Amino acid sequence: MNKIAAIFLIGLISAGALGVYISNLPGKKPFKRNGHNDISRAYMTKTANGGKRNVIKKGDRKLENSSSNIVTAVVLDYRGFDTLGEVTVLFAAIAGIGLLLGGSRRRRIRPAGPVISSMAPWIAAFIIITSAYIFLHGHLSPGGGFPGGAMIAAGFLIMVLGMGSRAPKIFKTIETFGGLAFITVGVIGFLKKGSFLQNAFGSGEVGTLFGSIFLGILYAIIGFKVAAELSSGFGEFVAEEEGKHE
Amino acid sequence: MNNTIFILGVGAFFLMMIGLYGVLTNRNVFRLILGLGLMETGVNLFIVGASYWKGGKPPILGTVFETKAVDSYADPVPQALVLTSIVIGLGVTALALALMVRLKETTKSIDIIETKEEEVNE
Repeated sequence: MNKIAAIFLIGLISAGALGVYISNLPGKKPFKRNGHNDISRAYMTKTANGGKRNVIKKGDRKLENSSSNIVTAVVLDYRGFDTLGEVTVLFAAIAGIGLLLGGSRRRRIRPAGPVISSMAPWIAAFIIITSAYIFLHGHLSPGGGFPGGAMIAAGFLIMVLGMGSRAPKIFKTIETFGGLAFITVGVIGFLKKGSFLQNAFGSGEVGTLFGSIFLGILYAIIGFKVAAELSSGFGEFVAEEEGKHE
Repeated sequence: MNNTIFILGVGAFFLMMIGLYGVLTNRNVFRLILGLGLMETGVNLFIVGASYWKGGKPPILGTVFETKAVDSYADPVPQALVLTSIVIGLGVTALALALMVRLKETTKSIDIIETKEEEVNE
């Protein structure tokens, strides 16, 4: 498609969409203070008695789940089934990469110079410690299993690229058992509380690390699983690319 | 009219359109994947921007324990949905890049016009 036609088409779409958007731009009513809809309000109050209580105090105990980070509560508790599907999609994508690229031409990559290869494990150690903090505090502060897992993968990538070591085989095992562990936590909820992925570990005090141990367990599982998936997925690319140079 | 929502919405929409332009006009597969990534970022930004309102606090209980907590937060549901969307976008981009590597290996080209079926030797 040539450029003129593309610009014309995009202009057409823009004119239509912007017209609809501006004419329907939310006025004051849906976006004023206290304007959350019922679902968001129910997620935020997190009480089992119909969301009547409005203020959550420090030290509250009788909540549905006691995570401080409401986004984490939505992602892992209320929409935990959705997150299971998301993790499955990521697993499928990485398995597809392995299927496409995993051939016979896997070779070791050459290590970098002495400066990088001697400093790489130190940097990787600090990155992995920080990422453990991030995914363990996913229910208290911004962060969680997905960014924490991405950081662990970054730490391993520094070691792979700097020292020439290959991604260990154990990552495939961690991928598989991470998915199994997620489903196991869901089945425990089913057996103890009656529905899949329900919070079966109780909820403690708001704002403490062990108050919402359910979300902590799930985010630790997700963190390791995402780290293993990203590392092994990137390992396929690196092995393939470097094989051509040698 | 809320100015910030307007700017976020229009900016996100133009980000989507830039990505669409890239997808429509380029023949290089790598640029197509970049264009798809831009479109996806625009959609994510649009959804996050829809949850913004002036004075909304981040939905973390530790920050606003003292005030009337629930009513002062931004809406957490779009943010949770965008988290899902980002992760799936990562998977899609990675799989598309893997397909591109295979395409380059089999047909020696990543141009979608020059790539022909007959060049694939089994």
